[in-house]
Amino acid sequence: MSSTPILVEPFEEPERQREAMVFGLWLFLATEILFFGGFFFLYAVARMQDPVGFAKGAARANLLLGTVNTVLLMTSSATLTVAERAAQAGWMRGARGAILATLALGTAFLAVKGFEYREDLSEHLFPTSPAFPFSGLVGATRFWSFYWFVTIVHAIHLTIGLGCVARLLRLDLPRRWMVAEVTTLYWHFVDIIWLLLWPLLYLVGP
Amino acid sequence: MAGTSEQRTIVLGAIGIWAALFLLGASSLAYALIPGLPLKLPAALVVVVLQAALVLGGFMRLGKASALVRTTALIGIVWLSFLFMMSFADLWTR
Repeated sequence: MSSTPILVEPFEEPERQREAMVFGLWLFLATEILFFGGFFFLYAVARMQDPVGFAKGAARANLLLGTVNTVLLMTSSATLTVAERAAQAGWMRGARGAILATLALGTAFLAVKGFEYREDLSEHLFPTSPAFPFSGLVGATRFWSFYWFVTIVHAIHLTIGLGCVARLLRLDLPRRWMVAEVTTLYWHFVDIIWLLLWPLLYLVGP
Repeated sequence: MAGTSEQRTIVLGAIGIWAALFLLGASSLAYALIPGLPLKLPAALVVVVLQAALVLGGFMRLGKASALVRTTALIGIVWLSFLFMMSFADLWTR
């Protein structure tokens, strides 16, 4: 089992501190659910108003890269779970290895996203481009507006997550495993958002 | 320090959930790619709900969390459902 956790004011018992940290993080995630929920409502309305144009626009999204990123993020959730549970169990070598794997997978996700963005830009798949292939098609324009906005917001969340995960390497994990636990919760939330974005962006076109 | 069996339990537990997530994702992809099948997006969303349940229960251990934490997790979904219900009610009755 792990060493005695470091307690901060006003907590006198590890369980109370843990409960407060997890509760606080879930409270934050509840606001994030509402934040992303607004985007998903926008998606539903845009698709409902022009389903044919929407599907035409979605057909140009890169399914292969989107799917690769889904696998990368799902795997990173698994490795970070291993890290968190290993830290809690006092298996520090396993925890550090799994944290490094998570960082590699998260970075790979951003790199793949970068390649995808480069391809999208070279094909003028952004509504403000004069050469946008779907100009005049409302559904497709809305799809690509949604695509850019929501994937960039997600990538920002992931980048923040990478920073939080990297910070774990500098912590005294045997005594600060609660930080690993809440960091992991945030990372899984970002993963769930992508699991929802994957079909919405990549599976509505085929 | 965790014993070898505990280490194995940690790793295998994560791999098991990952495999289930992967299979669900693969089924969603296959359904989307087969031409002519009905209700592709609703089917994909059902799979997402199952995947989210796996992540929430397996990775985030929401089932083992206190009632306070579980209620907090539910609150976001509840308010979001109100947002969707009221906005769609407005949209569909215009």
